[in-house]
Amino acid sequence: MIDRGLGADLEKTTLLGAVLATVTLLRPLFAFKENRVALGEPVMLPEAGGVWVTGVIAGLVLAAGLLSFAPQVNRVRWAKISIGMLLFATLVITLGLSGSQAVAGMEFARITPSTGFWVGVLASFVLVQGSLHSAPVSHLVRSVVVLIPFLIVLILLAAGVLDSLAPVQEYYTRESRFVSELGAHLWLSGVAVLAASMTGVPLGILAYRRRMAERPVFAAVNGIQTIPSLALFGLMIAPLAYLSREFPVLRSLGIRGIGNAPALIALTLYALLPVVRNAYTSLAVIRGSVIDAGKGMGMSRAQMLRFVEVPIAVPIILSGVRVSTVQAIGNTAVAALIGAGGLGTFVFQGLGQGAPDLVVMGVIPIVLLSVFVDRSLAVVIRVLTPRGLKGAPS
Amino acid sequence: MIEFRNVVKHYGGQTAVDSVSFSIARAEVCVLIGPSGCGKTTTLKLINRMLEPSSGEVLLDGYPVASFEPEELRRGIGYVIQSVGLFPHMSVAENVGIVPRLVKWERSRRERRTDELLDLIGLDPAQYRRKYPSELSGGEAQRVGVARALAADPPVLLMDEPFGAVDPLNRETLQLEFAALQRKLRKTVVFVTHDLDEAIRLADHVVIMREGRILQHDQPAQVLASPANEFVRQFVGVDRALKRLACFEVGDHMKRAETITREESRNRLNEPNGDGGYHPILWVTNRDQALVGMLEPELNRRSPLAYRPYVELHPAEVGVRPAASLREALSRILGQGLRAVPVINDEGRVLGEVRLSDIEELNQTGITR
Ligand SMILES: Nc1ncnc2c1ncn2[C@@H]1O[C@H](COP(=O)(O)OP(=O)(O)OP(=O)(O)O)[C@@H](O)[C@H]1O
Ligand SMILES: [Mg+2]
Repeated sequence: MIDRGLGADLEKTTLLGAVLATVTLLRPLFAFKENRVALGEPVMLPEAGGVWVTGVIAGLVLAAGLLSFAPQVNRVRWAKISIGMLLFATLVITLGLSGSQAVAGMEFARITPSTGFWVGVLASFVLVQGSLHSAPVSHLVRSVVVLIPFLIVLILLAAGVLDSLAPVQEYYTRESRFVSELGAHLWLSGVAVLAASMTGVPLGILAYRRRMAERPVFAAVNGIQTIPSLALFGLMIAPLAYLSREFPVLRSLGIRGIGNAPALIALTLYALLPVVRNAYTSLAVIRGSVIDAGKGMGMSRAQMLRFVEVPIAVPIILSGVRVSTVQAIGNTAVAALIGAGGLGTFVFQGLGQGAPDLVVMGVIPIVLLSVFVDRSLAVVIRVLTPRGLKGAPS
Repeated sequence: MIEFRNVVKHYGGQTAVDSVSFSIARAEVCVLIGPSGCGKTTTLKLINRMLEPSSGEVLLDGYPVASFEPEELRRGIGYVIQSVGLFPHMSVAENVGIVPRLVKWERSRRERRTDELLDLIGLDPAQYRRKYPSELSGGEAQRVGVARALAADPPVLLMDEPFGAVDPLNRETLQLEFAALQRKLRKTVVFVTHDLDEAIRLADHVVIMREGRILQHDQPAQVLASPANEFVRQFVGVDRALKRLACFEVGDHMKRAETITREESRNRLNEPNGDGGYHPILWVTNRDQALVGMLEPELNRRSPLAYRPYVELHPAEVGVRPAASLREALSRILGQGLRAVPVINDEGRVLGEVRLSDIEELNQTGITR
């Protein structure tokens, strides 16, 4: 064996994770507030979790630090992934339990996670992702591992462990409103993606089949994408308001300058680009020789579609739909500005009231939704992709 | 079987095939050859109606191809396209089984046929059935392309540079395998290539094309012996006499050889006179009648004092097989510095011999200067 010396196997990502994780020990874990608008009092990890928890976290940090010098073999990878997961679970549970203790008996008291907590979460993300990224595992396992932290949070939420957190308190005071806005959010993004797919796929195919159409189609969908979302929503207002005023039929259909109609149009326009681009690509990747071979074997037009074009193209088209769905979920947050509702409502309310906890309460479900939809679609696409075309997992 | 009658094909203003007429007999291999862009692929695609002629007609079995439904026609004609064109999303087995699937064979029959074909083209079904085109080497992919074309056992096979993407060594292997396969299957094959040696090796007839016209249509030996014009003469090259030797099989041109045993070689001073013919070389065999050496009686007669029973030979280096070409035999003759080489079978038995003088004679007859 060649002695390669200490540091020969240094894994920088893991080291970064370990360094970040030390911040949880040095910075406040959360801030305690007597009521919604009170200034917070910082609480450090030892104070919140006691000796044991502090010891566990310090141990995890140390282990991650040491493992960053170990060769990146599979056992080490899984050790690091477990460390990241444990770090995350410990932080969240500690936050919930000590928060509940701190606010016990006080009606309006709450806690807000601070630097120590957020950086710790980031650290665990770095640890997990850094190792999972290069691990030789199936797509399904990867998706499941990514979903574990979200599952942990959901279970804790359901069990009431996180009730003392300010965003959760904000949620309790608006529970029914939250459900309806979540519904509105899903409806808006869903309809937009559906509409974008129904127009985008034919547009992409048209752009591929007709030379003439290619440039204008791409100029248009690319152009839309360069308009800032806020501006696009704003742009919808004037013409729709005008139409609504001039044609009472439209008004009776609920089409006005603000609300769902302009939001849906803008969201659909935004969602177009990935769909059109992938629909175009899906046909472009089918090489002429393959089409020639199919024709030469005596395939009819329908058989060519069934045996060749659809199996190759559908997964690529769905990848476009996936990107566009994740984008739409994010963009829908902005739609609240023109009165379309959705989870963005809470974000903008929070911004208006100077209540960051309300903002967080709006943002977290949006993130959760994006990740969940993204991973689920990734699995669906994986299943639909013929084995011969599978490359590296995405 | 296939007949072109005054076929013309224009692409816009350009003429890719210019008034071409020729026919291809059943069970023969007709090779289309010529420089890039001379219209070979176009000619091929006119047969299975991938392209329609601008004028003239193509007949199959006496019927105009235009009278068949294009899909029906194509399912009855195996097609190996120029760039292989395997379906990337289908396994090797699915690729090979696609035409049977189109004509709705039962699954079990399809699978049997697929395995049979993989065996035929020399890929172990157990190992290759489930592989995908991206996991194949260029040569393997081209074999699969050939298997796919053969799947529904079509009587006609169109092959557009089927071995183009393989290195010269593997290409030769594929050619020899294909030649052996064709002896068994006896398809009517239209084969396109750039490679003159490939054409000589495989063709019953060659069609030499240039700028959409046929310059010469003949047996390969004939084309090499008397090129129709200056272009063909240049195309076949200054070494055409040598190349022509590749058209002849050793088995058809060997002479009777005289053999003696090792024991006989020790006490014989005079040449044997089994047939009274002239035998410059006596081939010495062991008890199993396998070749071990040679004796040149004339040398021994000239200097009886230096009598040597025989010179040892390595059969693998000296002997040629009956299926080898005269070109190979000549190469052995020159390489060994002998006047003849023995023709041997798998066991090393001497079947006959090929003489330099016979090759010279053959070369002089037929070839035009
Ligand atoms: N689809 C097409 N449109 C226009 N011109 C074409 C088309 N296909 C072929 N040609 C032209 O027709 C001529 C004959 O082409 P073809 O493909 O038959 O040549 P080839 O002999 O097969 O060449 P290669 O050996 O390079 O494959 C070429 O000049 C080519 O540029
Ligand atoms: Mg060609």
